[in-house]
Amino acid sequence: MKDYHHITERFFELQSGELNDNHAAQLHLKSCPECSEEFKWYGFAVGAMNNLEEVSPPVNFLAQLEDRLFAPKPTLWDQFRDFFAVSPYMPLPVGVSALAVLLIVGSVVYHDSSLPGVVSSTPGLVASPVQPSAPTTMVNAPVQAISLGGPQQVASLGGRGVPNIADLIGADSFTVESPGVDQAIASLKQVLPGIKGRMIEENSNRMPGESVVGVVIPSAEYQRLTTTLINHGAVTTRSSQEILPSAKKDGDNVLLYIRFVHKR
Amino acid sequence: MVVFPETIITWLCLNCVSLLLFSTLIENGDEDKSLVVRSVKGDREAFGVLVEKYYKKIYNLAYRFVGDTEEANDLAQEIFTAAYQNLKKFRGDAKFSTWLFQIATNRGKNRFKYLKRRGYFINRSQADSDDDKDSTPRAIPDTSTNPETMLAGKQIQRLVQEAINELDPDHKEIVILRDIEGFSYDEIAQILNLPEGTTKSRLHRARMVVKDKLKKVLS
Repeated sequence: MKDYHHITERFFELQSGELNDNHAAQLHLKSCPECSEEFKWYGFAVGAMNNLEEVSPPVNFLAQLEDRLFAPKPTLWDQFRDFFAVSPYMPLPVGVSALAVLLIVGSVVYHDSSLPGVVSSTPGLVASPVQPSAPTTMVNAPVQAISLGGPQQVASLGGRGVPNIADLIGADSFTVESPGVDQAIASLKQVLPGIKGRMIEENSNRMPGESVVGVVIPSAEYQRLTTTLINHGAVTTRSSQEILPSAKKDGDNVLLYIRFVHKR
Repeated sequence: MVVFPETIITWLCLNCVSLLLFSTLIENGDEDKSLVVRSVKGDREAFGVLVEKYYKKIYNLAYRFVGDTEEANDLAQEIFTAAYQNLKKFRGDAKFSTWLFQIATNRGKNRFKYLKRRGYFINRSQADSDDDKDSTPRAIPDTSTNPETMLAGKQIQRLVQEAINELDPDHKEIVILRDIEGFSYDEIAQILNLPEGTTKSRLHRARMVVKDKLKKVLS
């Protein structure tokens, strides 16, 4: 005969009559008040669950289900109207908040990508293959620049009837203010192959937090690169013109000096 | 005239009864399957017959999962909608009722998890206990002498439902299928895709949890 110290683990079999050693278990129950009490409660719990009243569905259950299954499909407008009432998973406030967030994010993304080809607003100049920039786009660009050159440069650089801002300022050299100078230079290096340009000089020993980079790019790409620089916070100043050599043109190519300054 | 011995007559009668039962069962399964085939072809009435046949049981199961009539209504409707949309996937390997209760159990479990994450059951039991404070104090029955007498009470029903609400989903589904809906272990094994041993051990643990909760509240 097995020694049933406590037989709570045997309650299931005992209750369902599946216990092989049933007689011994019964004897134990008679001699152990603790197990006897627990088994009584066990039986009570099982009985209570077996005897739970059946809950009846509402009288219109079938009608509701029929509506749900076979009602005509909602139009696009209905779907839009009901979008916020998809209970219980999307209460109205959540829906409204989500829409507001979407609008804000959309607006930020739209403004950020107003220059075709530029896909990042990070301190660097990460750019995709550069697309020709439209004059209208440039008007909205956040430019802080003053004109240095004369209008005669417009035709030679742009080669188009309508000048853009880069043409107008006649930028010989640029100062780019960036919180991450190294990152900005790295981004510029990424951009250059896309416009068939190359870096010919990099000097970072001028002043702490300042680097000057000399690049040679095709004349036709001048506007695009300068516009990209301007859109990322590049400014042209008289001081920069004094410090840096002027841009030079040899017909097909332009030599351009860009100064990167750490911005706090 | 040939006189049959009594044992042979009894044996024949038993055989006839079992044959009748067997044929009824087979017919039942076949009937469901043909209704499914008709429903898939677009016969709404056929699906209506299936709904008519199972909606009370499905609603009751849904109620036991969520413990609230409105939620149960929504859940039961969701179950039938899912079944209707997935009728084409019913291959007929198992009985339609097994397949339907498989959907019901999965949906019920998911809805229960969803509501539990949002503290639905805590809020409800809080509201219920507030209601109790307003009403007359509950008379605690003498369970040590006759616990069976307490089964009739509505309060016991509510306490049992609350205890079930507090079970974890894996235990809850087994308790509902076996102790409330009365499915056999074979059927439960098919619905939940679990071995019989696992089903029994989980059921035992679930019952122990319910027992402890009831004992704590009532004694």
